[in-house]
Amino acid sequence: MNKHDTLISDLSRDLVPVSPSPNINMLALAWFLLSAIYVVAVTHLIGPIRPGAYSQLGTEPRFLLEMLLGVAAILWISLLAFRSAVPAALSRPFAITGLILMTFWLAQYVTGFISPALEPSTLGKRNYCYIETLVYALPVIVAGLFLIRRLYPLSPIRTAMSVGLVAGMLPALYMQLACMYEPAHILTFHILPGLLMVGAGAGIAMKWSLRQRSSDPQ
Amino acid sequence: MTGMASLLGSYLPALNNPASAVILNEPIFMESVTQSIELKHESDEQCWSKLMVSAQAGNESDYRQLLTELTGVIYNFLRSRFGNHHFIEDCVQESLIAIHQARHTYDRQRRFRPWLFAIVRHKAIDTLRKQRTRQKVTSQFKGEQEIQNRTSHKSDAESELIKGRLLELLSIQQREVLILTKFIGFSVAEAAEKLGISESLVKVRVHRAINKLKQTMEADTL
Repeated sequence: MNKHDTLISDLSRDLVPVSPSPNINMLALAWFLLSAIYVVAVTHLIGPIRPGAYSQLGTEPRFLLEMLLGVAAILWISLLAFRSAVPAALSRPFAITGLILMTFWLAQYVTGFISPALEPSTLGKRNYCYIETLVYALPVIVAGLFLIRRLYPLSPIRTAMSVGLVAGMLPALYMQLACMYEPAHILTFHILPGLLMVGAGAGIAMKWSLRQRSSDPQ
Repeated sequence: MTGMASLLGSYLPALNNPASAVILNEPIFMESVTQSIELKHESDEQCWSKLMVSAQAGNESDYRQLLTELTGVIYNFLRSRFGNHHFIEDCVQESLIAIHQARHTYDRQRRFRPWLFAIVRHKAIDTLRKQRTRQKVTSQFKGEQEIQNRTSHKSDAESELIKGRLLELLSIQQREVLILTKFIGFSVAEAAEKLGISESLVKVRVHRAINKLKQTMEADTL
């Protein structure tokens, strides 16, 4: 009996039935929706949103486009994050489309320096919007990684970075309605803290994989 | 032609004879063989998918059959890409363990082969990165002198080492540091000394070589 045969009989002996993992697209969608509801609810609980922000969605098409682009980009990255946690479930075109969408959305704020979607003003300014963005994102990251832990990400850090990006960008996006609208403020106090959560996601994943390695018998 | 011939060789060993090259050039023959290969892939695909679904339900004999069949497939896949190295044995075992750990992520709605080879590709690079088998490899050689002879000339051993088609895609510098450190088992310091370059340059070249292999394998479609 060679060593492959020994390994195969070891692996197949007393084989425990496993329930196949749930539909990853549905799981990603559920995580995205619940996270979005959580972010909206907690933002409203902590403080009032910018007066007239919702009506601006109806009167300012560029602002509406900006928000819709943000939702689409974040939703796409949510799907991407969960797909990357299952071998071969994420295709390269899907990943590239997600990155293009995210870049296109963020580019709106850069072009906003020249031609903003809304008239810049300090109306509705929240004093700790950057801290809110960071704090609101953390439970979303933990929830995402908790859901993904049962799957089998081949690149756990990359997967966790995607989870962190979604977690950071959800509160950052809602701050466009909840806080003041001014491109420099948005990029510095909403988007930047949101992007920092990519690092937070990677950090958590590294801790995870280090723990796995230290418990590895070899 | 070479790629197709080697592919055919794995399915039809009798055609490894050089005299068969004339037959292989015939378009009708090529078409029918390509079709038969596709049919074989399709039947393997269905068979493995059924076995995996059965294994997910806890059927030991189906799982044993699946893993036994996959062992040969993984071995051939890696050997065709990396050549005939000792690390392939480790890699096959690592892949089998990973398949076992990830078996619940196989979805019968998706194809089996991409799922399988995504794991195998990942494990191949992972095993290569972690490769520290100096003792194991050096014991296969008779002594340090022999190792030096084998690495300083284009010996049979080295020719064997670079047979894998993936390794041929690397630059000469990348390939030699990879072979010295990962396949033969020299330490970074020893490889640096033999090549007359700094240790940091050896590390950089190994890192780049593995990254290039990883990118190439990710782009590898089956």
